[in-house]
Amino acid sequence: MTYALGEIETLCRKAARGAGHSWGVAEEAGRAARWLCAHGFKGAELIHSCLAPGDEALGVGVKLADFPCDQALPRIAAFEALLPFAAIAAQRLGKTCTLSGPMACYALAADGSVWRAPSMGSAPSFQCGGTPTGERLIRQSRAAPDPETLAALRRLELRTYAPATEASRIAGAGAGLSDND
Amino acid sequence: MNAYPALLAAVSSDPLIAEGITPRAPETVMRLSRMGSFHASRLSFMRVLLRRITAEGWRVSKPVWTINAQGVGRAVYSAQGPERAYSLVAFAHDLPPEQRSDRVIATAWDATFTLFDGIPSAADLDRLEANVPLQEAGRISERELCLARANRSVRLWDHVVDRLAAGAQPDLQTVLDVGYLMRTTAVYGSSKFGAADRDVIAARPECAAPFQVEMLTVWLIRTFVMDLVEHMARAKGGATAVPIEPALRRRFGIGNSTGLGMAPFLMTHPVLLNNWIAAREWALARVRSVSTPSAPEIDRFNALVPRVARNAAEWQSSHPVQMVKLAALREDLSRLTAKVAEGLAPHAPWNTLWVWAETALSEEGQEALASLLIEVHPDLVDGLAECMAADEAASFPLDGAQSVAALRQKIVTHYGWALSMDWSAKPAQARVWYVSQEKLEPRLGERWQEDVAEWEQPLQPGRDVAMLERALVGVEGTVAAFVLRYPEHRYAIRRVQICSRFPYAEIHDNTISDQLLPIDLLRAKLSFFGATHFDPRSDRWVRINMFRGAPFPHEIAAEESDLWAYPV
Repeated sequence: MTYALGEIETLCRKAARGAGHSWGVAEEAGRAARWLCAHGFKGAELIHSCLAPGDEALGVGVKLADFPCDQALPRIAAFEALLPFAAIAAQRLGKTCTLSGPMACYALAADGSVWRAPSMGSAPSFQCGGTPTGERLIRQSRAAPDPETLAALRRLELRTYAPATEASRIAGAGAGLSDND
Repeated sequence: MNAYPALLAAVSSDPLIAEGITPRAPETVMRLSRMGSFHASRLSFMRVLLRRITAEGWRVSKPVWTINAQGVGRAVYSAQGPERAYSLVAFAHDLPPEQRSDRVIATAWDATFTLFDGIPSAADLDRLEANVPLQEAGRISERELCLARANRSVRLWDHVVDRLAAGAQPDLQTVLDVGYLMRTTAVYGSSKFGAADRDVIAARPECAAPFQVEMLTVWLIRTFVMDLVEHMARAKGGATAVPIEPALRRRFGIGNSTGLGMAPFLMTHPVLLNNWIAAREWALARVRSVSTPSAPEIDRFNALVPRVARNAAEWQSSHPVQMVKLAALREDLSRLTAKVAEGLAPHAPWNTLWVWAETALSEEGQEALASLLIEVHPDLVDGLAECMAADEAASFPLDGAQSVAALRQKIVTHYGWALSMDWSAKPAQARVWYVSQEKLEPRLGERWQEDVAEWEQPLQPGRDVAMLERALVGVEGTVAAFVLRYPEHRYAIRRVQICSRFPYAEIHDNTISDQLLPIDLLRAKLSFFGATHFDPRSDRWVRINMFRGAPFPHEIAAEESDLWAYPV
């Protein structure tokens, strides 16, 4: 079964909130998952791995997007999870930026296009500048996350919902006049 | 307005806006009581849709109709545009009365629908029949654009079937009292339950304006419902049965029942909200700028005044808040009628009338007049519909390079209304927006009586920006450095950065106070859909009428004017 990117974004936003992130960071996680799926990555899986306690990928990502500058990056297991943040940096700077990782080197253009070239095992880094080389990533409109990841994300999402009570069922949604006339 | 230099620059460079006239200020427009008094206009999305369908000569056919005498089966309506077709797939059910409910917690409906992207095959229909009747519990695919359901109005349905079956027409007053045979209780769009994402269709010209596929779905549902009621009358009355007389048929709209699920939308889509409001305010400023309208334009205005008054006369509600507002609106329209009878000003008559209305009429009357004036000059207004969509991804990135001092200045300039509120007073934070586990829908709780604050949603920008402002006292450096230490303020910072660029993006009111009427949020949004006859059923759900008076697909080619929203 495939999912709409909007479904992935919403699920990951809520899961990030359920995992304890602020709403502002949770929005970033949702957008990032959507971006990753739209570029053919396993966005739900990557973002889910960033929600583990103590994981620093989201923090590194938002810092990169908020204030883009040349920098060495820590070694992050889900390295590709940084891509959407590097893409925001390129959009904000209005020029192609480069995200280099141990397996691949990505060029992110200001117009949103992304290129991937093999990496020579380089240390993780971000540069405000670069040239598109390698294969251009093709945009996708659906995602097919694995069922275990979905279930795990849904467990986190569930934490953002208040348990139903009879009071909320009646008053919270606003009963009022007859609804069958 | 001086807080938005880009807006003032755009106003002064628009040759259609006269010296001395500006769009209304956000602090005037973006108040809940005024937003809760908005009226549909020619910029409303259902009007935009039908103008396009008429101009492009869309053709609607009914390739499938296999509904039995009990009213159970399937139907397909295909709307063919210049490049693409869209098909309403309808499933009619036999619903026991005790299961009929407008509430989102319902699990069965009189009819269920999806809008298919193209013409569905038999295999598509079988797949959809296994899923669409289940609504939220089913799955649809990227080939589907909307998911919807509707329930009969028991007050009107049996009356119409019985009359038609007996060879008679329904009673006009009974039709007007209810206004529709079925009401939709949800119309889900972009990406919901597996449907195509908006990004998939956003580049199509016919989908560029907001909510066009949702409006198309509802317009085709209305056609289906009228066909179904006549089918049921034939099944009951046989050769004696008659169809509804065409002029009376047009009086039927399609109802809708909307609750809190829709309320957060205006807060979670600030740039979209800005673009909707800006288009309408821009239209009003352009029309007020007209110095000497032509004779046909004055005729059009004069003809519309009594029609707007008739619409208000036909509008019924038994909710105490709306009854007071309706009385004020009717009084306002009598005053307007008398004022117009005195004669229009020879120079800039619309602006003269507008300036008069700003003190003479209630908010209901002022907003009705705004929509009325916009009707008079389609050439100045209709193009603005193209500005009502939004690229929300473009405004999403946080500007971390901004200094904290600059951010604070933005807060002082744009959120003075929030800073001046006493958020420590219990009534100011009486409510909590949360989502219940049960149906995954937004609800509104009582902060001081229920244990729900732990699950609070970020739907109180006023309070959150006021808290941010306090946290910024004495802080120097960049926003990036601040938000790294205090990620809990990230949401409010993004909000300030967006809303300081888009004048109509923020509601200048407390959305969690004990005085909040969620129906104000619902009405503001629904008025942009083109809904009429708002009838609140409590402070947090409302019934409306859609496409009332609109041409049916077979009538659209012969339609001479697009003023169908105003009863003759």
